[in-house]
Amino acid sequence: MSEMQTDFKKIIGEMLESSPQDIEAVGEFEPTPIDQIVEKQDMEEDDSKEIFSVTIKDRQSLKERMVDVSVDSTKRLVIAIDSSSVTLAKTKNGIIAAIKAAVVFDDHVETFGPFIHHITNNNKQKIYNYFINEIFDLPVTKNVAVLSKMPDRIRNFLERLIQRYAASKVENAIILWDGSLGTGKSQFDTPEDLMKISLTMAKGRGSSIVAITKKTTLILASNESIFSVLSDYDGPAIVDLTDKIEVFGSRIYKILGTTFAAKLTSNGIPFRIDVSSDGKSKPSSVLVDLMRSTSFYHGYPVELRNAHIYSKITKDEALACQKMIATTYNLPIVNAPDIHKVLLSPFG
Amino acid sequence: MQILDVSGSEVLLLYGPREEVEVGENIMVLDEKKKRGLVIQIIEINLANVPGILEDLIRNESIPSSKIIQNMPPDLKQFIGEVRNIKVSTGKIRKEIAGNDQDIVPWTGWVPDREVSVKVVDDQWLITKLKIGEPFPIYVGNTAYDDSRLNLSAYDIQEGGTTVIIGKKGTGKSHAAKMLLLGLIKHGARCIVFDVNDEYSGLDKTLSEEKQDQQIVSLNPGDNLRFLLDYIGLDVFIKVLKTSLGAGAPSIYELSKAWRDLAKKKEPITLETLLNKMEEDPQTSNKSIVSALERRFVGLTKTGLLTDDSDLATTLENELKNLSNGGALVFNLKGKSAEVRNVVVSTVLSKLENLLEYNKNYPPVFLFAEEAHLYIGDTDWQDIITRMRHLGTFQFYITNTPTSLPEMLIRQTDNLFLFNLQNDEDFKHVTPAIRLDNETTTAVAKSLPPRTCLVVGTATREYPFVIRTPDIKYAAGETRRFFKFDKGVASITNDVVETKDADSKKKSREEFSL
Repeated sequence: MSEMQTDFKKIIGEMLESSPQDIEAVGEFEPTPIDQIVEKQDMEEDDSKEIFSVTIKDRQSLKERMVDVSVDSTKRLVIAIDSSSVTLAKTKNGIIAAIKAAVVFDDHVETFGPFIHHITNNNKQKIYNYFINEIFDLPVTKNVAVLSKMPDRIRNFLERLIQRYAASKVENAIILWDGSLGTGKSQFDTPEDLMKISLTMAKGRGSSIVAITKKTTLILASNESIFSVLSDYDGPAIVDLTDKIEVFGSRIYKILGTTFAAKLTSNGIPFRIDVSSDGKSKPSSVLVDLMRSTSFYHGYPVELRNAHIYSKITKDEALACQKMIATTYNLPIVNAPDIHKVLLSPFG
Repeated sequence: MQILDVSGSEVLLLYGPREEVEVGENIMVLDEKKKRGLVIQIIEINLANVPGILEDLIRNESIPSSKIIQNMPPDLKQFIGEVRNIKVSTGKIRKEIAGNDQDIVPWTGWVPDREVSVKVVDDQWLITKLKIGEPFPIYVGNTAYDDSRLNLSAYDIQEGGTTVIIGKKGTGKSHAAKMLLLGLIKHGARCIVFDVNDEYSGLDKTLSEEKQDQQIVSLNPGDNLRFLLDYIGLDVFIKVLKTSLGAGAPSIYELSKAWRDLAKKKEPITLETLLNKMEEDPQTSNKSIVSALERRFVGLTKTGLLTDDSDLATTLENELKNLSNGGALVFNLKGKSAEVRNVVVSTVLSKLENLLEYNKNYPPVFLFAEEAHLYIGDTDWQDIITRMRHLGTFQFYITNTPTSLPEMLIRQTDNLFLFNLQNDEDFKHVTPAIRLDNETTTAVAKSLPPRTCLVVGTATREYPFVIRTPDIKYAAGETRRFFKFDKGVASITNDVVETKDADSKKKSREEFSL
């Protein structure tokens, strides 16, 4: 077992054994209604919902930039990582959140959590420091997110940690991430150094990172959607956009890899895909290898789909977490009226 | 356990896997402050449709659990198990609890708040509160879930008048009937049993073990049961000729005429004298009618059921007289032809009706009829159910074919023993019998294991109990088998053995316990 794996097991062990911070003092808690839990479930927060302009003239020019996918390829191991967080309850001091992550290997799935955190304005800096400094060994900053964003920050840290753990378990693999490799504006929850180190670790073991975003919009100069063009294209398609992508109003936007618009199967959905290569392979070859190495669900790699499925905190798991909190810490449940509904019902 | 919902008389109860409830079990819902409560009976148990469970199950199903390594807080696994296995039980409101003494009264429609206490109720408490089983207790079994002894009062059974015992073959319905029969005999009642499977004659052994000898008298048609034709009577004889032997109206006319003539002249009435009379009569229009009747008489003679010797003849009056301290006449109809069954049953019922009608002081008789549709004709039901009941014949019907019982009987049923049934048609037919809802009969009866039944009626104060009938040892008629399997040894019967023993007609008996 590598040093990274030993450290990781220790960290996860501590997280599993630890109690939510300052929870005994809250006296009571107000669980999030179960029907609202999934709606608020945060799975990613980066530039995935961004609209990017691409300085490619039109449909024809895009097709001319397409990568030849008929080249020789290598069948490689494919693994995937994803995570999720939910707000389980409110307390008089803050919120209680649950975080879960999953890694899908070729022969098994490993899940982590749900880890339960009680986050308050008093302890959020401490939690942030724990991850950024004690786990990732990076300098602490004071710009901790607002309380409502903290569950997602913690989720992001856990995901980064597990990405490193997963990278340490494989060699010469393709590691699928949910999201992008953008930094700066696009990844204000992930320090650039943190991501760089993660990519370097994977590269050190001959693995490539492929980050897939599901919701990014890419627009050609002709105002046509690139995904629309690729959907119309008969067959798989990969277009390198790295030097053509622009973000309005951002001078600090940076992608730590090569950006593609790609449709990985003939009838699949096109996505924006960022690739950090292992250093030996061309980034586009990594995608061709991916196409040969796994199966797809509507053009989406099944490993990443499974990682999403296994990292999701289902309603019954959320209920169990709420029950555990109420039982273990003997916290009475209060149900505050929904002010929105009280004031605006039946239109609220 | 908590109340999830109340709709009409139906209550949904929610509880975790640490609590256990069974179908048929009774639940007490009590509002301590208001001194009011409900007694609810569970009719169905389901796993709750917990939000997210479908996603979770699909997720677990997509990859074998052995291939999932879970790093989860140690306590959480237990809580997830508890949430996933939350159950919802459907219960029916049966009674209301009122006052400091927690008296049980009919439900008034009152519905409790959600903050009431909900707990499994002790059956014995319920039995005592409902004052079930006194006077003249008959032990019928123990309640299925807390093993409380359930006695039914012979007085209440009698007040009801009609008891129906229904269930699939092999579920234990005859067994329940025997418990009732033995209980009635022990209290001194006289019973008549129409036994189509030769299951009751051996009960004498059970009673002799309890030093109550000679209380089960087995009467085998053609063997120790023979009737004088005169005793059978013209009406019964005509009915048998019509229904079982297919005699036409002209034949019946000629026969009736001959019978009346013989009776008028006080001459003996036998098959032979009847034929002679018809042959001698110059007015008999068609000799072929006499020939047709003669052929039928030959068939009847072969049954051995009719005798011209009054010393060999049986009378119901004498047989019942011998049971003055209680007992049962078991008419063994196993393997008998339709005409024999018809003659026996019709004669017994006819004589019983006369006895009760003309002697108002004659003690009532309890009648047990197994698979009555095999020997009671469509036209006889009404008389039996209404008139004979009024005269003092309290009836027990035992069948695995409930749809064979007429609707009129079902609606007149006062007590029901319902064993396992699966056929929906059977449920629909039976439901009016017990003033219970269809959901209860369907949900409970389908899940009853062998020798367990739902018993409800006047004898249980209309409260349905699920009981297990006790072991009972008795000697029953042996079913002739080709393939045999005894004490782990399999064999076949392939040797033809000539029987020389004069007693060979006596059926061998095999003791076994249900």
